[in-house]
Formats: sequence, C-alpha cells, structure tokens
Amino acid sequence: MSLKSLRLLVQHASFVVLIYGGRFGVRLGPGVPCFACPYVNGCGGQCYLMGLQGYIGFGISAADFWGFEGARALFWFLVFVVLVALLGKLWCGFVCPFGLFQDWLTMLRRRLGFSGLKIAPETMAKLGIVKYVLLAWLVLGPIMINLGILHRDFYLPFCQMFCPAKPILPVFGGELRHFALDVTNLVTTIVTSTSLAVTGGTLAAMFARPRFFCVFCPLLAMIHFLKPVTLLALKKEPALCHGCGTCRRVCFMDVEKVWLEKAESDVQCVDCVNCGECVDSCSASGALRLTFAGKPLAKSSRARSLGLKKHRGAA
Amino acid sequence: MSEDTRHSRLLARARDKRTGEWEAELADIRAARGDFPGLDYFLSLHAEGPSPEKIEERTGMPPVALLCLQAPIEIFLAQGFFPVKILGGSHGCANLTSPKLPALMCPTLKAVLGETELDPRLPRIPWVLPLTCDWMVKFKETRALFGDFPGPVHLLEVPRLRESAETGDRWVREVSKLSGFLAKIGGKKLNAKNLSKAMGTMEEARKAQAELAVLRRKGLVPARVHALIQGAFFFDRAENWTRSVNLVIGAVRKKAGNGDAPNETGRENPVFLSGSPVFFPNFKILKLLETAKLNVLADDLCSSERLFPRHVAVTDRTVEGMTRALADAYHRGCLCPVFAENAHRASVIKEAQNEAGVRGVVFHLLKGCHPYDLDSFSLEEALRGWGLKFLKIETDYSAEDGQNLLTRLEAFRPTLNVEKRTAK
Ligand code: SF4
Ligand code: SF4
Repeated sequence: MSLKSLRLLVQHASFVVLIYGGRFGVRLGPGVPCFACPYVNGCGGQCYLMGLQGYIGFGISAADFWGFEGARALFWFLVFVVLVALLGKLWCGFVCPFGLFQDWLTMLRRRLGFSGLKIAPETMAKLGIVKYVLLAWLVLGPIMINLGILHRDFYLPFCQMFCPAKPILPVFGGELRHFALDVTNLVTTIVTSTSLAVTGGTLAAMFARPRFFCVFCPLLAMIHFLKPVTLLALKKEPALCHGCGTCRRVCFMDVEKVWLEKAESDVQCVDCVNCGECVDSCSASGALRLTFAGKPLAKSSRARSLGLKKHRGAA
Repeated sequence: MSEDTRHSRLLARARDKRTGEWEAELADIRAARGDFPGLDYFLSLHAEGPSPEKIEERTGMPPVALLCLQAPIEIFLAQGFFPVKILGGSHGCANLTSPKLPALMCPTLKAVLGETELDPRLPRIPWVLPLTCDWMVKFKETRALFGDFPGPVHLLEVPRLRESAETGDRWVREVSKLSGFLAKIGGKKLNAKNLSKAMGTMEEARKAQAELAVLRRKGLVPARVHALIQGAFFFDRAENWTRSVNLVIGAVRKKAGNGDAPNETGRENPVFLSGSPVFFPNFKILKLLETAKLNVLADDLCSSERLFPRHVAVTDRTVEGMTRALADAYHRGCLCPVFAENAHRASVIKEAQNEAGVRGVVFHLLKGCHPYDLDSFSLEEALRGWGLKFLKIETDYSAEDGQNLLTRLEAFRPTLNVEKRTAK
C-alpha cells in the first residue's frame, strides 16, 4: 500500500475519532499534538496548545503551582512529549483533522481544475517565521494576562484570535457560533473580529495553496523543537539521489532540503510534516526513507513510485 | 564525372552500406538470440527501417524527428504527433557526411545527418532540436551545409542549471513553447484530457521498462536484446511497444521459472554500462561485452534505460500542473553530462551496485563526445570510493579497433572478481 493511501485512511479515521470520539466515549485528554479542537462539541481529544495556554495562565497566578494543578500540567506536558517522541510529525501529516480539512480543500480545488497559488519558496520561508511569533504569543499572552498587562478577555489568546480551526472545525460538530462577532466590549470585538479576518483569509489561502496554514502552525514549531527526542524521521541517502526534484514538487510544504541535500542524511526540517509524499514519489531506490528509531518504515523505490504491486526484484 | 553523378554514387554506396549494416546486425542478433522469447516484434520493427511513411502508417500519427530526450514525449503524443528519434548508429551514414564535418565530431550526429541525406523525406518532416551539447546547438547550421531543412524546425533551449526556481520556470516556458510549435504545425492544442491520456500511456511504458529492468538486474536480458527492445520504442505506438515488452517479461519469467535461463551467462561478471549512447545498428560495444562475457545488468545510456524518465509524479491534473511535472522529470531528472553541477551523475550506478551487485563500470565513449569525456574523470573518482572497477573504452563506429577493445574487456573481466577471491 502506498503511503498516500495509508495516510488518507489514517487521516479519515483520526478525523472521526478526534472530532466525534467524545460522543462514543473516547477521551484522549489535553495532550494531543495536533489540532484536535476542544471547541468541537463531542470531540475525542484536545489539542495541546489549548492546554498549554491554560496551564501557563493558571501556573503564574495559582498558589498551588507546585501542588496538584502543577503536577497535572507536568503530566500532560509529558504525555505530549511522549506522543511527539513516538510519532513526531506523523501527527501533522497523518493525524491532524485540520490538516485533513486543508487536504480536502486542495482536492476540491484540483477537482475544479484550478491550478492554485504559487508562492516563491523564499517568501514562504520568510512567512514561516510567523509560527514562532504565534508560539511566543500563545506563551506570553497568558503570562501577560496574569500579570494584568492584558485584559482577561484575551483568555486563550492563540485559540481565540489566530487559530482558524477554532471557528472551522466546530462546524463538523454542528456548530456555527464561533463565526459570530462578540461585541460585548472593545476587547471581545477586537478578539472576534481578528479571528474572523484570520479565518476568512486563511480559508481562501488554504483553498489556493495546499496546507497553507501548516506553514504558520505554532504546534509544528513545538513538535520540531522536540526533534532530538523524536524517533520518527525522514532520511536521505544523497549518493542515491538523481536530483530529479520530484520530492520538491510533490511536497505541499515546499520543502527544498530533501531535494537539494547532497551530504547529510538528516533531512527532517521544520516544515516537513512527514506526509510521505516524497517517499512515495521518489523513483531512486533507497534514496528516501521514513524511519522509526533508525529502522526504515518505508523506503523510496522505482516500484513504489510507479505503484507496481508485484515487484519481484529490486529495481 | 560531374559533381551530381559523384554525389549520387556516394549516396548509393552509403545506402548500400547502411542497409548492409542493418541487415548484418539483425542477422547476428537473430543467430545469437533468436530463441529469446518475444523478440520477433522488435526485430521486425528494426527490419523495416526508419521510414517516416511507415511510422505514420503504423502509429496513425505524423512523425516529428527528435534528437535528445529532454523534450517530453507526452506533449507530442497529446498533440497528435509521434516523436521519432532518428537512429544515428550507421557507420555508412556517418562516413557520408564526414568530409564536410570536423574529424572529431560526434559520430551519432554525423550519422543522423547522413540519414537525412539518404532519405529526402526525413528533413521535410518537422524537427525538434533540444539544445543540449555543442553539437546539438550547432546542428541546424551544420545541416545547412547539406541544404536547409525544408520543413519546420523548433529549437528547444535547455537551461544548463537545474537547481534554481528561475531556470525551472524558464524550462516550463520552453516546454510550453514546444507545445505552441506543435499546435501551430498540427492544429491541435494541449488540454488536460489529451495530456492526461498521453501521460497515462507513458506511465504504462515506464512500468514495463521498470519490470524489464528487474529481469535485467537478474541477468536474464542480454545486452543487445535489451538495446533492441529500447530502440524499438520510436518505431511503434507506445501502447504496442508496452504490450510487447510485457509479453517478453511474462515469457522470460516463465522460462526462468522453469529453470531455463534465457541468457546463458546470467549474472556472471556483472557490469554497468555508462557513457555515450548506443544506437542501432552500431551495437559494437554491446557485442564485445557479450563476447567478453561481461554481463550488463544496468546502464545509464540515453538510448536505453534513460530513454524516458523513470516516473512523472503528478499532483495537479491541470494542464499547467502536468506540464510542470513533465518539465521537471525530463530536465531535473536527466543525468546527461551537458548540465552544470551534475553531482547526481553516479547515483544510478550506486543503485545498481546495491541492488544488482554490479562490480565494475564500462564507460563507453564515442570519440568527439566531449561532455561524456569530461564526465568520465569525475565519475571514475566517485566510483573508486565505492570499490567499483572502471574501464573507459574510447571508440567510434569503425570495426577496426574491435579486437583491441575485446582484449581490454577480457583483461578487465578478472579484475571484477579480485576482491571476491581475496574474501574467500
Ligand atoms: S525525488 Fe528522490 S531522486 Fe528525486 S531529487 Fe528527491 S530524493 Fe532525489
Ligand atoms: S518533505 Fe516529504 S514528507 Fe516532508 S512534507 Fe514534504 S513531501 Fe511530506
């Protein structure tokens, strides 16, 4: 089975579990390293980013930071680390429901025969810095709230203002209310209007360019920070690469390193979401590998790229 | 004797020589490999010769002459043309044009020019000339020495750099210009439907080629048989070629399954053949390799395993998306030495070492083929690090050096097994 087919299967199964799981008793808790949005009614797990903002907000102000609440925060952080260590960016490529939502938009656009938006790699690289800004915002925002620098209505500042999944994913749970403008006060007006503007813009951009939001995703940056303990990785054998650039072209994250790397075997870079498209499409046998603890899970080959089922032999 | 009479005599002599070469090579292959399963189709296509009328009759598409393989075949097929690679392997044809050309010029192009002299219908069909090596860049002007091309000619500019977005975009524009040229001469435009269909056809051809390569790595396909199969691609519809290759694959598997190997020397002395292309009827190097009992299990010749890209991955089925996919595969994936920064040149050799256990590389260099000559030095350097033996054979289309080359190949053979023996 190609990684592409496997991915589609896992993505859809994960979507059902993470979006509807709560309705049939699945509760994975707040340590999930992908956009399993807690705003969805009856979700099966919760995105760690929400937990993180909540714990930081709580931790600064609570007297019992070193007590039960602190231990709980630490526990979920450790759960998050272990999950990332095990599956790395497979969370993004194979599990994230918002990733799948973006893939649906791309499939729809292609079905409609639109070519999509080409953004220069240099521009995307520059825009990629935004994910670190958002990460800083989701860590510093709650701290500022607790220090009284920011109004309390900025609570969960990333989710409320900048996360497009917050209004979009609840639609799959039958809720549209996150698209409403809250004019209770100036802060709620700023927060909700920002959210709507970001969501509208991102929605259009996600339709025009595959996985547009992933480039800005602070969770992607967090997962990448844990690279030294992550068991899953994308590797390259430069001596076997033909330089054909297929990996670059099929990569919806516009990763260039996999194509251009000529010396190192480590090609796992921040924007790679381990979707495996490059491994599936590369016709150089053994040039690319998706590995777990150094052992190959999948390897590029001429046969795999051509979808040859009964491939008896090596070429 | 008038100039015209002299020229007619030269033409007649060259034609006889060429016919003789074609017939002799076919007879030789038939005698040596006649029992190879499914070979008749490929032999009979070659026996008919490179006639544009016959190709049009067989394929139902008007032929366009194509030199070098950077022009995506799919674009031609989608727009209703059949790309024909003019086989430049005849010594007689090369000799015919030699007096007007530099002594150290690529013999393949000399022979192609000779073909255009022998068959006046050839220059009249449309030509697409990818500007790859210097000889190709000057090809149109060189042909003018024998008379201008009466038909339409398209010069396809091939960027020498491949790792920048700018040259990638420029090349996509060049491919679009090629499509514009074909639309102008044929009236049929590229659209998502015809391009997608052509890509599907070629993907099937690629699958057949990949399956054949698997058998070849196992030592089941002799060198000349493989070359004949690949060369036939430009004689018939891709669908027919694919079907016939699949028949060969099935028959060879069956034969091998019954313990009846279709290649008596199998995987003994496994080598990789690299360097300048080998075109029918000049299978000299292949025959010498067979005689020296060196088994070619893989190659990187643009006349053989690099005939078309291994795979064209398509993520976007719009015309633009598919054109880009083709452009990338035919340009960035091409290991031709004319490109700058060709660091990946040896990758397929490494792959063959890993997968088929080749122990040495025979580098076939046609005199006058400067890019390959230059390339051979860096390649040898790279291969040394991988423990592969290297033999450079510099030759031309004449038969005179045959014995000398055979001696060198035979002397090369035992060196392949040196480490193996020491290890035991
Ligand atoms: S697809 Fe494979 S062979 Fe092509 S550039 Fe990427 S790694 Fe190299
Ligand atoms: S580099 Fe490969 S695995 Fe990573 S995102 Fe791109 S296509 Fe997917």
